[in-house]
Amino acid sequence: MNVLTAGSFQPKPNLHNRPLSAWPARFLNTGLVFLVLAGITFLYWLADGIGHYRHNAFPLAATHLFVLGFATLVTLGAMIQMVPVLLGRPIEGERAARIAYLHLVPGITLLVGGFWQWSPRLFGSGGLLVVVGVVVFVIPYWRALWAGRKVSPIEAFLLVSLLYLLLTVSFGLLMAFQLIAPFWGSLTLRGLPLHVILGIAGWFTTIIVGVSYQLFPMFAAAPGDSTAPARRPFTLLNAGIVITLLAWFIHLLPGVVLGIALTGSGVFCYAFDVTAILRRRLRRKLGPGVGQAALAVGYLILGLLGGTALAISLWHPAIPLTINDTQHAIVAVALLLSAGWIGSMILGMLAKISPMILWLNRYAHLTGETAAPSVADLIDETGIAIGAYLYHSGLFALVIALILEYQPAIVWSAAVWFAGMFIQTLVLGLVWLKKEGAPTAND
Amino acid sequence: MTRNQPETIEEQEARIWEALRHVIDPELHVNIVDLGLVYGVEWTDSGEVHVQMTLTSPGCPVGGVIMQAVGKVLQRIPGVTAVHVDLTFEPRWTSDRITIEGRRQLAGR
Repeated sequence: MNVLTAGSFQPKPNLHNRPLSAWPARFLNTGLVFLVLAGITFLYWLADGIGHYRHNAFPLAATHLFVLGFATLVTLGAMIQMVPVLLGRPIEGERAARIAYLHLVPGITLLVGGFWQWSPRLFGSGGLLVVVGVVVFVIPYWRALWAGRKVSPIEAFLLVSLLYLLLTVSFGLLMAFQLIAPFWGSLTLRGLPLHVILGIAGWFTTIIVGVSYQLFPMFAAAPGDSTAPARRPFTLLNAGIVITLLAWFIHLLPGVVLGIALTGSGVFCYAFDVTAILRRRLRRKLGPGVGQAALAVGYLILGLLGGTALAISLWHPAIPLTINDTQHAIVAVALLLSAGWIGSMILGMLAKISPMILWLNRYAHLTGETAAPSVADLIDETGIAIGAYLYHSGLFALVIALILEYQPAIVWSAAVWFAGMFIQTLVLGLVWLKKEGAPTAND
Repeated sequence: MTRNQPETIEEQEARIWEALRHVIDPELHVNIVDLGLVYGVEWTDSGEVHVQMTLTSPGCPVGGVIMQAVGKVLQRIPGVTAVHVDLTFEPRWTSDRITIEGRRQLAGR
């Protein structure tokens, strides 16, 4: 029972939505800057012709700018605001988020600079700062998530995904140490796939799949309990990831196949559930935000199928693939999973989350007044739609051009993709520059 | 400040429902009455208003804000001395509760 006495009632903009601060916006906007830098670096690499993908400065720099600088910072920023809301209870993560930010941003910068100049000591130092930042960030969330009497499917996804994040960055740091002072012969060679699986399947896919069961129904206005079916993909995905990692580590091919099959089953369950959620939505138009997020699920399926086809091609002696073919195919699959699955989902959800955070910070107290704007009023959806059109047409063309190994098309389609990325980044950044200035900060 | 007392309970109840229509879900941009979020309203002689309401989902990011706004708009009604907002998820909200007007507004968005 919430008792509000007329004489003493003081409207507060927030009941469960703590913390109200500028930190989510800082994480989000810094992430967007890193995204543009990642795009420029990747464009530069593609224009130069794809060289060796492993231990190559540009793709390593571009990849870490994208996955750590953009995708991880944005995800953590959104978590600061949205997780207390999703859980319905406050998380005392404000101070930790501030300390984490002050470690993560310099850490990522050093890491990327180290890759750029190929200085293991430099990217090792950056990696150490990143690990410290991640540890500091996740502790209050783990504490709060464990504190619940019963762990819901969404909470389970959050708990496990944060563990994967910590394992990913720690494993990356271990690989950097191996390059500085070798201590484990096969770590660099066999470790890279583990690092990638932990990051893409473990951290990003787990957290995105988990929060999807909350965010898709919310933004598409789909009624009903959408979180209960999340248990099935949770079990399949995590069983698949753990089995793949262990089997890869002990060189057990049937185990790897089983792990990938389980992960794939989890992905298909998830795609089925998202389709069901969107089918029962009350909103007729999805809008460019939810539309892109839905498209991301398609990229995930394509990436999974493409990756499986590539693995079979590499393994089967009857399919002749040159090193050049393989490198182009790997980059195409990596793009489907990173720019397609992760990038499209984050940009799409950001088009909904950024104005929502701004609204909660600045306009929540106006609810019930005629002057209260809607969340949609705070973002230029036409700009997002134009950016999304360029982003996806460019990305799709780029993947085709890479498979066909047609260099002029690779460069031009990458430029279109980058233009779409840049426009969306600009529109998302401008959300915070509305007339009333920066979001209200109480820190 | 002088407050005009309503003539009947029905009149007061109508004012309460009308006031609640001013609370608009910022994400869906439909008022909470047409969304079917308000399960019931009770009014006592002493001026206390009891509102039983729900949210579209327990994790609704604007849930707290909406509940605060309910208190705010109701306390503006003459004769209201206290507002009690009771949040419940039993029964769970379903789209069947949305009014025809609410459906019309949602379909256009």
